[in-house]
Amino acid sequence: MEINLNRSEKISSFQLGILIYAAIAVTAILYLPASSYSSAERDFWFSPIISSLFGILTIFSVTKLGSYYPHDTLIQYSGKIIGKIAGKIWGALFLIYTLSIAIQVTWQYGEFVNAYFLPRTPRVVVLGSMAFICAYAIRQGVEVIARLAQILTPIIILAFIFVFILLLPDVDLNHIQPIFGNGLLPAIKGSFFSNLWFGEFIVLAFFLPSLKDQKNIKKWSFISLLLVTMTMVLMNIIALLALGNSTGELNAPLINAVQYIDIGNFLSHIEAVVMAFWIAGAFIKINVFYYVLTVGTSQWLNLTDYRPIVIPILFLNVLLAIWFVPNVSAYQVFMHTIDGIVGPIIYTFLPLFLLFIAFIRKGW
Amino acid sequence: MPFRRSNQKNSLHSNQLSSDLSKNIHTFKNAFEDCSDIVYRPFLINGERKAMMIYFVGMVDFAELDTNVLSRLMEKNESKERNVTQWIQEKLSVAKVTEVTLIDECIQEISTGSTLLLVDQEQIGAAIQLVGYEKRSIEEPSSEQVVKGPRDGFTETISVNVALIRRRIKDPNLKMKTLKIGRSSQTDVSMMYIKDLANETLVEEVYNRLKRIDIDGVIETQYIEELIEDHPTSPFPQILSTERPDTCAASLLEGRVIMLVDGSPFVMIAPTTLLSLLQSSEDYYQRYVLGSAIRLLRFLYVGISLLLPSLYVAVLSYHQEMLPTKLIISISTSREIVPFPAIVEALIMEVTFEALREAGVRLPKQIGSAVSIAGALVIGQAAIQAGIVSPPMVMVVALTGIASFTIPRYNLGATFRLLRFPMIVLAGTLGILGIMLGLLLILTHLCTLRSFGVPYLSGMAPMQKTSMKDFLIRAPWWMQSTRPHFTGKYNKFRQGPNQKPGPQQGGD
Amino acid sequence: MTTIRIVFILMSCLLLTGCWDRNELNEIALVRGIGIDILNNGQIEVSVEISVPKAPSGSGGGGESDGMAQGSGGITLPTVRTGRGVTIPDALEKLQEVIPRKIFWGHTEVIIINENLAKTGLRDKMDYFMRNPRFRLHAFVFVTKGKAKDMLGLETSLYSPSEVLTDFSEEKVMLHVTLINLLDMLNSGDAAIPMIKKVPPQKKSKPTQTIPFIKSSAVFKNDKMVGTISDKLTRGVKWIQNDIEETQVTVNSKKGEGYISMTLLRAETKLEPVIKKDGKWKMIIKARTDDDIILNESHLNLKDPQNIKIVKKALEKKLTARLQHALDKVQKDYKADVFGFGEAFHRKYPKQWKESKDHWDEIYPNLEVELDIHANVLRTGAGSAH
Repeated sequence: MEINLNRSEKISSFQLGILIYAAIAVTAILYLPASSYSSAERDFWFSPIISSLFGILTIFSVTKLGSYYPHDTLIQYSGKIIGKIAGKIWGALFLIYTLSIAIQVTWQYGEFVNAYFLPRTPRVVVLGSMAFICAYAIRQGVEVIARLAQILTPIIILAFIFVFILLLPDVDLNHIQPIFGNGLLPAIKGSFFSNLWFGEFIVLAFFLPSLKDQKNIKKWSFISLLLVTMTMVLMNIIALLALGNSTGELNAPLINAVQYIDIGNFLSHIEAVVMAFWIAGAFIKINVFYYVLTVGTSQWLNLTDYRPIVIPILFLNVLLAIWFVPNVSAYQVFMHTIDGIVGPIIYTFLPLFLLFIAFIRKGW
Repeated sequence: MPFRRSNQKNSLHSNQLSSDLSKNIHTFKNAFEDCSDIVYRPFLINGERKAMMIYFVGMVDFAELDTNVLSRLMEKNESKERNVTQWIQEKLSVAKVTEVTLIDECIQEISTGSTLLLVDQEQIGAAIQLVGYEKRSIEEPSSEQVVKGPRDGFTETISVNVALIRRRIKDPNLKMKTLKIGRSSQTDVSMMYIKDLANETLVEEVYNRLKRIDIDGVIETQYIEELIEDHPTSPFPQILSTERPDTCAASLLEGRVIMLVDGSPFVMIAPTTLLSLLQSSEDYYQRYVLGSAIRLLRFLYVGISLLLPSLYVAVLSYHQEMLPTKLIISISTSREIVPFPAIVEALIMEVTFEALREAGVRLPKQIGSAVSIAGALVIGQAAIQAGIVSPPMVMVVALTGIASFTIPRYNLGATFRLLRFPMIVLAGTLGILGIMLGLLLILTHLCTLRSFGVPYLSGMAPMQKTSMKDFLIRAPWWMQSTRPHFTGKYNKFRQGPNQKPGPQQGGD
Repeated sequence: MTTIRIVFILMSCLLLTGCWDRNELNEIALVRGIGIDILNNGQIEVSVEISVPKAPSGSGGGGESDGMAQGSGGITLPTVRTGRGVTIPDALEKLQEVIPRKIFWGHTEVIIINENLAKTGLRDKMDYFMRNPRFRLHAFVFVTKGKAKDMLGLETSLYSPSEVLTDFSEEKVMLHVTLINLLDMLNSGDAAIPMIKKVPPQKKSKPTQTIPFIKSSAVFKNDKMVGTISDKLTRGVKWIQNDIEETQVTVNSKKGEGYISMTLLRAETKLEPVIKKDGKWKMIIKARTDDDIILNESHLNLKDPQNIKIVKKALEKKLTARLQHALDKVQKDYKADVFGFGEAFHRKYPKQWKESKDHWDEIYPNLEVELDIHANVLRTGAGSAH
């Protein structure tokens, strides 16, 4: 780091890569495995690999668009590509859907804390305290978010590895067999739910203008994609191997698997520790989505600075997260329908379409 | 001194010395009115010219003044010298003498311990620097002791301190700029750096920030520190203070700037990162394996000193399932008669412990030990027996106390000690979630901090491959071929290639 | 702006006064074990064993050592309390009425289920434990013939009954089934759960002054208990489940006229399902074991390799008989697939399994099972007394 007294906001591709990794992987291991299991059963660990195709498409279109418009974010260049009005409409669609994702992320965090650890603590306290810290971080700018990710992500990855190792004694390899007993179809069906997570790579588009080495971003985002896929697959496998057929009966199998850890009678019931690490991850994820939301909204409104709208948008998010999602079942229905269908369209296919038009307009 | 008038200088004495000696003396007697420690010594030069020496008693070296100034000027001979300049050149066998013409200058010279020589019918005075006040000798630095390593520490005298550093770095590129800060105290503040190693913008920035200071007096480095740091409201120290010349020399070689303040045995080093605050100089003087191991241990204990009481509170009040069954039953048995919730118990004990520590520092050494005995044994034992606190809590607090002593920098340790209290409150409110939220808040704050433009968490975030060699572990010297990255642009390599010793390196 | 900030910070300080979920350690009752009985009127009776910390003796003016002693001990009195209701939570609500502290599930190690209740079906009863996020999934599950309450109320001298049972389970001599194992078995086949009994108390002591131990196993068909198998048969079941860790086997060889005991070093059992060309299903159980001889009461000279061979044969015969007995009882009599045969077919022949999954209940009792057992005697001990 050079001595930097005038505070220009620059992050490196490497930082962005791990930022995105943490932002995508943390929530993918919570409620998603149960959903995938419901249609893929024992092959649900393979679903993320299929879904990662969506990740490749998203990263490809976003980085390509980024190289066409290196100083603009998605909201800014969409107007240049498909015209002002169409751009605004597309921007609004994107922002509304991102708002819903941000709400879901916030809700998941609150639900997780309330359901497993602090059942009687009011939701508004759990969410509000987190939103307060996020507001502080987001107002400090992208550099601070990137640095936070850089410190927290290795710790989160270590926690994942730790969980993996601690669960090894409870592993029964028979639980995974038969592999593809009913062909690939169930795994493909299961991937329906995880597509959205890989579509979330679209948030890259909002960080690309802050990069100081844009040429490396392809490499790091694909490494990030690889890591996300690996994390999801390994965590699914370890939950399956430890819990066996009960995986489908549990809302968040990995948490139950962690509860099941029992090493030498003293290292047991460590889910509160794992919760702590998960919260660190959720913090990054919430930061990223709130950042995208506030920056996107401010650009959509043609504001010069996003900082004034940070607090209002976070406030809106917390309130909506409390009102919008009444219970787990409602969330799962939402996840299975809207997120499964709308998510890939807005996050993967529309950017691809944008790229297509930009490609035609720019010529070869 | 009336402070709001900060910009208008006292124009009263800004005129020249007069050629009339008695007029001059009158001026000085006015300026130093009610200063009973000032001495006016009239004498005759060569037995004919009236002259006057003005100095503060206790700040000059009498013996030197007698032999090298007074006796030489008073002795009668047929010399032709007729003016001050010639006397300075030929008679005064004193290393440092300056000519002064302004009354203001004279007053300043006298205040800082010089002896002013005024001669009748001369408009030029001589400031003879025979400063001879009592000073502490060089001792082992009491706040940063090492088992292996140099044992000299800075003293209160800036010239001695500068010499201690010069003795370690005999490089003409070691530059020094001195300012006088403090309108009353007129404290010498020097910044030192090695040209070509220290970033030029950094040097300039430090100088500018020092120059900006306008204060009545600088008694200790902390005055300066708080006036030049990047984030004045942060609880974290952004400038490293050390008593050790070796630490300063090492920092200079890493391209940092150091600032010395006369009257304080502490020297400030900037820019500073959290990692450098967690490194003790001894890490580098022991074998790298031991150095690395101690460093890892220190990181663990930093965590303990910040988190252990809050974790204990969180586990006991919220997450009782986390402990092994037998342990939780044993703790619950010992806590059964304690009437307070765990958080109150923790706060009582922590406050008591901090009071004990403070008392131990402030009291004379002989009584200090009595305090610790009374505190640790009597109060602890009685509190347990009376059922006010439980034995595990005493253990937790004691361990936390020990942990906070492993942090090599006192001011950073103090920060963690302070942050412990909000963490306990958070843990008592939201359990582990509260601890995590507190940690995230601290971490976010750390990420926003900069010390002279360098990110406070440099090394961790932004991460650099080269700095990993001096982060969690201390790599052997032959591996650390590059300087810390914030100076990398200037002079990247600190050693020649292939420094790893081995049979193929020749020698025997 | 600064005033707004200060007001905001003060407001957030108000949030800190909450402590909604705080449960001080001396306000909770640590449940060590839970017992579930069914009453004649169909009501459910839930008993919990809780650890009540013993109040320290004489705090004022007692002996000098008092202060230290109270901290070090961890002396607790296990106490059993009971509540009744139509469901488990209903009963627990009644139970809470008679416990002054809040019931805390985080340390529950043992679940004991009454046999009569087990016969009516387990799944519904386990549902409560699965839904409770605080419950230990590692809790061991047992079935008892008598009342579960009585088992929890035994006055074990040093331990609590729950701890005794946990230790027995961790010894792994008999079956050991955790909550998750049980759920897994119920999902994929049929279950076998250890059954506990009282050790007969010594003559002079009260009938409750004894400890529980794992005597036999309860076999479940679907989720209903259908019968029990003895400890001997349980070992056979464990062999087939590939769950043997340490055991002694004693054989009586005709030729040697005496007993030879062996300790098992390593045992591995593999289930190999086969679907023959004619569509018949068959299961091959392949067991391999290495043993050491630890006692020789027979006339056989073990330095002779021929005699070792005899011992080996005898061991194989013994094991075959043991496994066959277990199979006869569980497969033919109870028709319960506790061995995981169905799973094995599922793994190897997923397609055929999908077709005949619904007929598995008919296929299983008549499934042809072939035992393929190979024993190996590695060492004959350090010396001998012969």
